[in-house]
Amino acid sequence: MDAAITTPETATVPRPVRRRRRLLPRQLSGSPLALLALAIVAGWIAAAILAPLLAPYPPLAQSIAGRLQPPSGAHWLGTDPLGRDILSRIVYGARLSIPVGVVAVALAVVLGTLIGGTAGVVGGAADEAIMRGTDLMLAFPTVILALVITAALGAGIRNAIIAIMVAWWPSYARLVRGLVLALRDREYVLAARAVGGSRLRIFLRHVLPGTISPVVILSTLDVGHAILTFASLSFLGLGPPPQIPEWGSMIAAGRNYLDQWWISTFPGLAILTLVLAMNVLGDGLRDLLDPRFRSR
Amino acid sequence: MTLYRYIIRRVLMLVPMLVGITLLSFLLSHAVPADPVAANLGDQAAADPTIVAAFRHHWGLDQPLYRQYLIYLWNLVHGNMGISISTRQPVLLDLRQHLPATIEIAVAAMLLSLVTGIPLGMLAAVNRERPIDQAARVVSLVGVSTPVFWLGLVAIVVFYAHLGWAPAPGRLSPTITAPPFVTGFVLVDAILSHHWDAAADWLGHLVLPAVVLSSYSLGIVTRMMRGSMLEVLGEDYVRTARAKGVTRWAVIVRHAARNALIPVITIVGLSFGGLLSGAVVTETVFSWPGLGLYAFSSATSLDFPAIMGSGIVVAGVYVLVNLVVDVAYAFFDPRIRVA
Amino acid sequence: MLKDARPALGAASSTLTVGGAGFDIKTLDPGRELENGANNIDHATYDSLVTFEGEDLKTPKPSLATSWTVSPDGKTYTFKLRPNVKFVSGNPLTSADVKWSIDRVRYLKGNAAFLLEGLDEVTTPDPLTVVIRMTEPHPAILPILSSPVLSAIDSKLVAANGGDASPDAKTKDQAEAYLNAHSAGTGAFVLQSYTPKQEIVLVKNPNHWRGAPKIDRIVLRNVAEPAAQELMIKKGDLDVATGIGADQMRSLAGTPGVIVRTSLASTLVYVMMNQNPQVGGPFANPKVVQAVRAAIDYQGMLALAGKGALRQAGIIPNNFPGALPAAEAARTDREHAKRLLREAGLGEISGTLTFASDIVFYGIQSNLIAQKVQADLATVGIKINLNGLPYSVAIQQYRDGKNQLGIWQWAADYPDVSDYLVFVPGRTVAKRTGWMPEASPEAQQIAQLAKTTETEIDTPKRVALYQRLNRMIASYGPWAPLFQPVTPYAFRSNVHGVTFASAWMVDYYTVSKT
Repeated sequence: MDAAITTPETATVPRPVRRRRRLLPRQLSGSPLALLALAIVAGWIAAAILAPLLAPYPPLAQSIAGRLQPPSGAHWLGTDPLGRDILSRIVYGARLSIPVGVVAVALAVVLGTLIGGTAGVVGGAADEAIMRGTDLMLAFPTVILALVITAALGAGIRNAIIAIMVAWWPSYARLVRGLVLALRDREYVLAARAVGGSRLRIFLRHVLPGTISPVVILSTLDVGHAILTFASLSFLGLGPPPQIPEWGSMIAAGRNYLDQWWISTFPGLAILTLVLAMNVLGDGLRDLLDPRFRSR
Repeated sequence: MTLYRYIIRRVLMLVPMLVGITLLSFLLSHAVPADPVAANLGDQAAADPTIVAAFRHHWGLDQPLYRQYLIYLWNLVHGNMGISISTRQPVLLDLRQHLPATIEIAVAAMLLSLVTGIPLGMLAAVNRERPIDQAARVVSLVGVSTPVFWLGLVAIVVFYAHLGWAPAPGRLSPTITAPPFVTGFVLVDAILSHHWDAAADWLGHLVLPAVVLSSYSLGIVTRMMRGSMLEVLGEDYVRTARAKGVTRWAVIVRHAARNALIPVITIVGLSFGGLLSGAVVTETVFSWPGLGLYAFSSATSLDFPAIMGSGIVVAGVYVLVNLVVDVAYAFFDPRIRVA
Repeated sequence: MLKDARPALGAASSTLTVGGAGFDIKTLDPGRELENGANNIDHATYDSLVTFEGEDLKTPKPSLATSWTVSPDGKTYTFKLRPNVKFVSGNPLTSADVKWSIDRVRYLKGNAAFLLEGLDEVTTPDPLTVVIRMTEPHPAILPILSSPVLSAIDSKLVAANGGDASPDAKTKDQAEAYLNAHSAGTGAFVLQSYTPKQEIVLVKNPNHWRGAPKIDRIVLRNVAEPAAQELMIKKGDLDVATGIGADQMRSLAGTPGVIVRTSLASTLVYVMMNQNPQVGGPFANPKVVQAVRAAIDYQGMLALAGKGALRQAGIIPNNFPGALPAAEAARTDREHAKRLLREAGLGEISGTLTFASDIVFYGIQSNLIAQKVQADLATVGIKINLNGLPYSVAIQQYRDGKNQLGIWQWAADYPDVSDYLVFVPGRTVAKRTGWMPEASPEAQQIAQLAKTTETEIDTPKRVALYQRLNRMIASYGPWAPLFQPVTPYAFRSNVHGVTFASAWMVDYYTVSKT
């Protein structure tokens, strides 16, 4: 799966439209859907923070005698092939998935912004070269890229994050470059230049802030996607070591135990609820900040 | 610049792009601290230096890296992509056998997501902010939020094991003889040779992987359609048409929908790349013998010629689709050509 | 249902559908293959001088050779060939074909060339006699000759298609592509099509010298997921499933219409500890090695390995002569382990365990075993980091001798105990584990004993020597044998005559369907 599911390369900055004052809280509280999503995300974050208190068993405690047990009073979500409690591992899994998603996207954003911003500001041959470079990177399938990176560097959380960062920065680079190019010709920038401001100052004070909003929107949407990608990498064996509770590798562990459906089902539901909630929120956020979709 | 010159320029840039892709594939596959010997010779053989030397010589691995690369490029220009170390067939043949399979599920998934997503997006836009809009948005987001590999496993268990509606994972049943290889597309080959039962069997096998794979692009299509419909519905010419007394439905279909489709076309192109990537996992779960599966198993067995070949094809397809999309976009929006 | 394009096969045309797992097949060329999957096919399409029947891997039986004699010095074997045997092409089988086939394996220097180590010369005094002379007495050569690798190929046909058996074969031979599309043997089946990693179709050879087989057509499908194989055999979409695991076995037990069996694999699964001080670190200390052996929960391991798996005392699997009784196997004693660690005086010990994360051997996911070892060693205070790598990277590291700790398996390359001499100090597996004869006086002793053992031709003496060797390696070697796995397999109840031997899995000649 590749990055940034939304804006094409030639994203246009929202055209100035007649603005009407809109209160954030009203938009949010007016939609029960958004509230529900917010509650779910908050719930998972709380679960991640409070994991040691919430988990009934240590996530690493094995029990060969108690392996592959269906959901029961003792183990609400059953046990896995090594007898570990699935509920505990799911709760602890949130501690990994959420930060990894955020960090991976953040790193991709920073790297992409630096490179894409430079391309947009500097222009000319360097810009052309950088853009061809990003084209090249974008053309390479994420999974294969990640596979090779982890094979070369070793599996693990850090290298999985690096793999995601390496696969996704090109999308942000393109986005930021496009935004910078569009903003460069805005009236207020031209005005600032006419008045005699330095290029760097103009960039920092006028151009950069204009890029923040779309980038923030897209990156929040991408966090859910990053969590999914990280789970995919773990599923393929390219993530953290197997004993660490991680939703993707937990699903992979259940691959050979289709009759013991609980092993794969619950981690899958965990991913689904968290990512869906994040996407609903991100989607609502985008609608909110994109003037095209404001109702009259 | 004119559209014509834009196209020429982009096409010319394909060549260095493809060369760049080969270089990237080459470097990546050699960055791994192991070589094909590891995956292809047994423990005893690997302990015997003469056997290892014979293997490396046979596959050209005893040459210095830059020479290996240049030899590869030279052969590539002559249409020779080398022999796959895992299948012992020419890589080009492997690709000809595997690529159609991936295109089959990618196209089926795309069609499914368009057929479902476009009406859904229209419905959502027209009924904006009402429950149906919310529902449509959540449905589209579910597709994007579900791990494809998990969905695939669940689909197999529910629809194959318990309900018996879907056939066993694979592209054709073992009892069906595959139609003679002409294009590599089962449907086409089956029709050409009148193997109707093979076509029917293939269709049955296609359903589940296509549905699972489409879950991802369904979300994108729906949201894109909704977005651009909303934008178009707010346009002046639409309001003018309404003012003139044209009925709501006529407005939607004749004016709004058609114009709203344009950005959707671009998104189709772009998510095609995502489909190709998502195909790796889908093909693994459903034992669908496509390019994704081939690329993944070449990567794990360090089959250099196969890695390079699949890298080139996948990236090449992606780049070509991007080109078509960009040209289409430039066709519709003259501002883009200057950028 | 469409039949294939060949002439009518008769009223009840029966097709056997087999599910293979993973399709590790790289090539079907007998001279270049070594994988189980390829052996499975080549055993059906080719014949060798000798063979094994059913699941008995102890007594070689006549196949293309009707009888044989061994010279008193144990170095020369004389085989009498069966008369009137024809290849599928119609060419008659002669001793020249046998010699050509064996020489080709030798000079191709392919994956299986090591099988002919110690071969001096093959001669053919007459068209129905083959003489094989070794440089040293090597009793293992007889079971080795049963391998499909050393089967008789139609030399005239293959030479006409690029085959070469001269000393330059490794550069001159071009027959691999031909042999991947056509079988050139005397076997009960003929290769109809081979789609790499996907499917293989065999059709019966009506002129086979034993009489035509009872199955007309065999379709082997790559069904990589054991769970998918389970589903398919339940529904009858597969006749035979060879890629199921212990847990599929459990759920299939008692399913009407399905029979589940296990075949003891000639394989040892073990933990290795590198004795090279630079790589092994604290694990190069003999007391630590013993502590690790005492810390592992073997009963739990067996539960993971599934029903039918056996404890291993020493490194020779239980079905080979020289195996030790289970009573001698290492015992789990965590107090003893802790005591040994204290005596070693190295403080807190930690290490990295490398394993191939993407393989499932004998139905067990490798990372399950790794996690169990990690948890077991944690109980005595040894902290293990797990390093799961793709197979090719992990095995390269192991072969370079750089694994500090690892979980690996040794599957017998041929049905003879001498294959396990690789565990002797200085030889293949021991070398990669850093255990050389110079390491200690015991290691030196074991290396010497091995030399005596491998040339011993008297069978009872041989067995006693292997047992002694095994005992010494079990005590002083840097390995913790975990278990001997079983290969579970299943077949529909209307399929008869299914046997499963670790050498070539199912022998299709004896199979029939009602």
